[in-house]
Amino acid sequence: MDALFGLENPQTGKTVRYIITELRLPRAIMAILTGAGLAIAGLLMQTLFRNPLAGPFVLGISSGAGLGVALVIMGATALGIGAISGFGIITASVVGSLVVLLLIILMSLRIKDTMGLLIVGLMVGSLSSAVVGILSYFSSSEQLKRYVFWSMGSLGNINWADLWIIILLFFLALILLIWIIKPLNALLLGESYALSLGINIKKTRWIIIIITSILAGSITAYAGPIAFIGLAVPHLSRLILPTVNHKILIPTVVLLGATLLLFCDLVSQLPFSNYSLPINAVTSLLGAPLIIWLIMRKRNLHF
Amino acid sequence: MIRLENIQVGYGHCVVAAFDGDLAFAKAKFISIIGTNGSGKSTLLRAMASGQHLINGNVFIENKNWNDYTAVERSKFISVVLTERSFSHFLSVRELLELSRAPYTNYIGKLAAEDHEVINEALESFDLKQLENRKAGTLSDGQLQRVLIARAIVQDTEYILMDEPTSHLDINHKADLLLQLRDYCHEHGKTIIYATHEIQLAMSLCDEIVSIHKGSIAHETISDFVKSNKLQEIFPSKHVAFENGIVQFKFDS
Repeated sequence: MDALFGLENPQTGKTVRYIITELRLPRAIMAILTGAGLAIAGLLMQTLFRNPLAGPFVLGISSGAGLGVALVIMGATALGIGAISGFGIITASVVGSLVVLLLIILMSLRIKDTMGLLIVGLMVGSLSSAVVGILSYFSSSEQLKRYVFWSMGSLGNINWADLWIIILLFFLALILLIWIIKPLNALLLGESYALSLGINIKKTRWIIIIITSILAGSITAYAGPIAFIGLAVPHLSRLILPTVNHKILIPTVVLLGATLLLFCDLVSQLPFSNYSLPINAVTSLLGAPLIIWLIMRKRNLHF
Repeated sequence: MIRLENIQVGYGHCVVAAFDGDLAFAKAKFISIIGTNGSGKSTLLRAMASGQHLINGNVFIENKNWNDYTAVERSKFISVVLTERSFSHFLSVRELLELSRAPYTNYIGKLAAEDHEVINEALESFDLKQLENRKAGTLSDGQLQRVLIARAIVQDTEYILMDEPTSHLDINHKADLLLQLRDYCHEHGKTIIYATHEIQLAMSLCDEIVSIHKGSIAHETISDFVKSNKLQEIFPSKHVAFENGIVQFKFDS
């Protein structure tokens, strides 16, 4: 790795070495994993719900993480606890998304209808937002600012130890994903036809929920609710390569998601200046016009 | 053979249609289900296809209870043509047929040479060759209906259950398609059971008729059915008359 960056040169300062291996490299890898992971999660949700507006967070995962973080940042002072560390925020985010996920998975045992699950996910999201709203109303401007910063997303707050956890989970999700490529394609025919083709819908739905949870949950825990990538990248892929076959679509969204978020992160650093923009603002600023332009050109948006 | 034993079909606890005893459908038969709207034609089809809406009774395929088959085994016995169209409109006709070979492909859905052969044959015989790369969303209702029927044929099952396969088709295409399906049954030893509103076509093409009237199911050969003159009873209207299975409209002007 040292050779790759020309760091074997003893003249290179220790600082430069530290910046590259401990700050820039983890950040770039995080951008790649986040872009790819959220794009996969978004694709799965769009296929499962047969809805072009579905994204990785329709099941309420980001709202759950947001609630956890809000509780820690804004609720902590109410309990008499002082300043909360970055580690505390990550823990809160992990716990928040896990709680929502368990809730969704428990309810999916009872809900037979896929659309019902979608609505439950949206309701859980609204519930969390409402609690966050109440908490914000009673909190100080300093706390509010911290929460807003978290909700704008960040790829930089990551160390190697945490990164390895995400890499591990990412590959776990990929293995599960290969297992359900065929059922995913069959789902394109609608649930009734998929059922008649011998596809186990229940099992497939479970695995889809688990993969989405692993990816969106772990990413949101560390990077915050990164907007737009999960919704837009599957559409971009289908517009660029006119296919809906998941065998082709999955590698495409992985590549496209990773590239897009890396690029957005690059832009967010505002080259040649000391300022940096929140990543969520950049993903939407770049992504939204791109999607609009593609739709204007192709004149349709399918899923 | 599909055998239905003392079946009651319907929704929740509400029985829509029932039959005491055994209803048996042999191989190589072209069978239609007729009855008024809401009489339970689709419900009966779904009960056979997936056990959905089966309140009481048992379904046997080749003398084995339907519940004792695995999902993949089932998909090699029964294919369906449904009225719902919730599939992705971005699928091309060929992709749609390729996906329907799922029961025979490996874990990742790789198609073998034989699969392509079956698909090409179906594209040929249903006159879809020139449409194979079109997206499903760009097809007309009639074209789509032909694609969905070809889809069921591609699944290559002993039994095909169809819910109103000729809706959306022009009268000439209706006649051509039903004749083609009947010949397919007789030549390949397959059985097609389809729900329909096209009484006259059913009377002239089918081997057997399943009629549902006031909640009770009846199953007769076509000649017995025509003789019994049940049609007038099932579809009572002073403006419609049935004679030997021929429909006549009577409007006083």
